[in-house]
Amino acid sequence: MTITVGLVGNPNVGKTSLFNKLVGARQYVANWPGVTVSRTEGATVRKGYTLHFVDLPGVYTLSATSIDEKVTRDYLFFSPPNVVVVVIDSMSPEQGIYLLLEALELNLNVIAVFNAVDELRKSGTVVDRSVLETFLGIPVVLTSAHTGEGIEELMDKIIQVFKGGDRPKVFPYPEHVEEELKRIEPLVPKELAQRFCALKIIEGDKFIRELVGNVGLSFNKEIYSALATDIARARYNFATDLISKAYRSSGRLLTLNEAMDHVFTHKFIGIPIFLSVMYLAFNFTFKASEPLVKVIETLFEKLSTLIGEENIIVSLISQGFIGGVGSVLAFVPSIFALFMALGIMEESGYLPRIAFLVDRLMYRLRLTGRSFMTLLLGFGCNVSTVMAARGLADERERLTTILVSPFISCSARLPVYLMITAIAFPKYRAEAFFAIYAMSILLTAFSSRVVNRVILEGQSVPLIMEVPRYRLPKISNVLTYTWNRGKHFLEKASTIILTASVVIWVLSYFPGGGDVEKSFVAMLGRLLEPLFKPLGYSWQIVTALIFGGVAKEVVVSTFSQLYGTLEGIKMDPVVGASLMIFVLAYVPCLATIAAVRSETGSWKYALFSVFYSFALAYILALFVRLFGGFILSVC
Amino acid sequence: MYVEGIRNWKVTTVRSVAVKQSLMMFLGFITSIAYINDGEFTFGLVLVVFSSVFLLGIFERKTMSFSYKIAHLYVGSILMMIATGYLILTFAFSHFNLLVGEPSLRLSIPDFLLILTGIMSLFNVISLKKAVTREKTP
Ligand SMILES: Nc1nc2c(ncn2[C@@H]2O[C@H](COP(=O)(O)OP(=O)(O)O)[C@@H](O)[C@H]2O)c(=O)[nH]1
Ligand SMILES: [Mg+2]
Repeated sequence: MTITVGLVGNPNVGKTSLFNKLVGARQYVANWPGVTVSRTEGATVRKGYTLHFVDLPGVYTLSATSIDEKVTRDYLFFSPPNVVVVVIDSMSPEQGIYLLLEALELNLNVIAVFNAVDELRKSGTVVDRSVLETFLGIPVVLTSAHTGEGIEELMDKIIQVFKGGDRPKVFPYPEHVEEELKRIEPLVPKELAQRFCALKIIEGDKFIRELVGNVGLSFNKEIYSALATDIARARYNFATDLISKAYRSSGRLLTLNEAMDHVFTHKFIGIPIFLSVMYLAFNFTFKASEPLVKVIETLFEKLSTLIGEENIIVSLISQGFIGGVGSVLAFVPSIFALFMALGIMEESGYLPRIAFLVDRLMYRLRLTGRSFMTLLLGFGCNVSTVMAARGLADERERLTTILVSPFISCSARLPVYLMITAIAFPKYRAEAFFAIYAMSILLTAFSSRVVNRVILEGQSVPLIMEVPRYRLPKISNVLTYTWNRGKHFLEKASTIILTASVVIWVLSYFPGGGDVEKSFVAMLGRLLEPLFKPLGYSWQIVTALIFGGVAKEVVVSTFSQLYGTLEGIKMDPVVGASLMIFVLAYVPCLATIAAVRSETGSWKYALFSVFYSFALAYILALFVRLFGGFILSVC
Repeated sequence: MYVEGIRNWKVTTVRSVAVKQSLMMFLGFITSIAYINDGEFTFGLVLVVFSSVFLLGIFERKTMSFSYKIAHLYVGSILMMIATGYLILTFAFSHFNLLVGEPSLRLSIPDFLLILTGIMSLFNVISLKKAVTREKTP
């Protein structure tokens, strides 16, 4: 099998020297005379593949203004090689990185080669390849055409990349540029690299403008030239930033930031560290907030017994208001504590790095690190994710993110888990939490595959983005973060949860006159109970789930009202586990459904979201119930 | 070029880093085993992960390995401090339990081991931070 490889790079970076090393004396070398410049081709065999190299004239950009630039550009554009190797002079890499960013827009397989590392070492400088790979998201090889270092590795990487399929990379520009790009892209014929062409049109590339034809440019010349400047600046800023991250003199130690990045984004230990830190955060959240939660619970209970339930008004207040809303409010300390832990992780600059760690994984799901960041918002509230998905450049990615967002375990589900773990397995709360969050992530991942397979087609926009520095989190910032996310919860308690509690109270008071067993809710619950029989849910649970469709916290309110108090409830651990999973997945809350409907502009997706998640929840809960029961009976 | 000239760094020698690294790794793994032995399986596992940060430092063999070794020592120590901080805070907060009439936590032997590791880590971080931040980022 033959793999064609184009060697691209600025003039004088060592392309021809590399080419000679790669092709060696083993194979033929042919010269193709051009107008003023030539392109040279040669081949070599490695691991059963014929690597056909093409040494192209040096260029600074892919906007062809001179003829040699045209040779290179036309080659990449009209007879794209299987793999593009962008050769960068490691002694002064910024121009090379600039060109690399352009080449990435072509949607080809790209490998970056930092050449002349021998000279770099002599100057007492080292370059951290893993930093380059992490932040560029493509394979990087360090070579020297003089010593032969890295040549074999480059050949292996070429074969690997070729076999691995294409992984297009898109560099994000400032928002106003992206907006214009989004407008132009659809006007470019599909068979051309749309984003590349759109960029070139903005940059004023005459050839591409003619090729694409009249795309009805909305702006006048000045605005386009301003946009073009912003594009160039964005590329240079990225290059400068990358270099400062990856380069250092060999006598110098790593800075704090570099040291931390090296370990926290480590290939092997990065993810385990992340999981461990999350576990500590969860566990601390409960342990720290538990006593406070107990104090508040006791207070509300005392208050409620003090009021009694002699008549209808008193019962409304003690059962509906205090029982319903109070039971949810009691979990406020835990929720704030968890947000505080997350706030510290985000403020310190740790969380954004995880986006890079998972980018590769996300790509398999045809999502990116950027949708990961959007999805992270969903741990506060799923509606935030659905709204923030607007910021995603690619439509397919946006839809996927919206449709999978309900599986991100939002804070509304927290009180429910807190309640279930407290009554079903009080000893293993952190473990249960860890498991449910892991489940949440797995379901999100699984669903994005399903969504991609079933509904959508299109391409993907991978991640290159800026990462903040590590810093000691400022207390004031963490508190603001905690408050901004937590207050949403308080608002809901005073509006939708209060309303739902009153409705539940009414339905559970009448027509029995206070006897829950004879009330409307009991009828409703019993009516649907058979459907949930296989899961082992009582009619109280079924009722709670129905009302929980409005907002998940209401599950807790319903429990509290139906049982009188949360203290005495007994629940089988297996039912508890299955209920947790069911609550995680079963339906998006009303607000999320509404947001999905308005952001996708169609009921089709909103309904898909409801039915899909219900079916998934039922199957999983049933599985947990059967499998868990089996395990317990064996032990 | 974005790189400053070569600077020598004399505060910590190669050998003292290697010694510290092995010591931290040893303490870390012992503490993890103590916790697992005590039935605190998950927390023990967390400490295993944190200790392997020290372990992986040993395998840094490329150029600049010395710097990377220090990075592992530094970050490993930070993680150990986080674990110790977690323990101490949980212990402190457990005294609120007295309010609702439940006992506060008692420190166990693994807890003391972890606190010892934490103190060592604190020293590491302070000494390394001084050395590391002497250099400004480019
Ligand atoms: N020290 C060193 N010099 C190199 C290396 N690669 C190329 N050069 C030198 O860089 C100059 C330009 O090389 P050339 O291959 O013609 O670059 P091209 O214009 O990109 O094809 C020549 O003088 C080479 O000897 C390398 O890996 N190390
Ligand atoms: Mg040449």
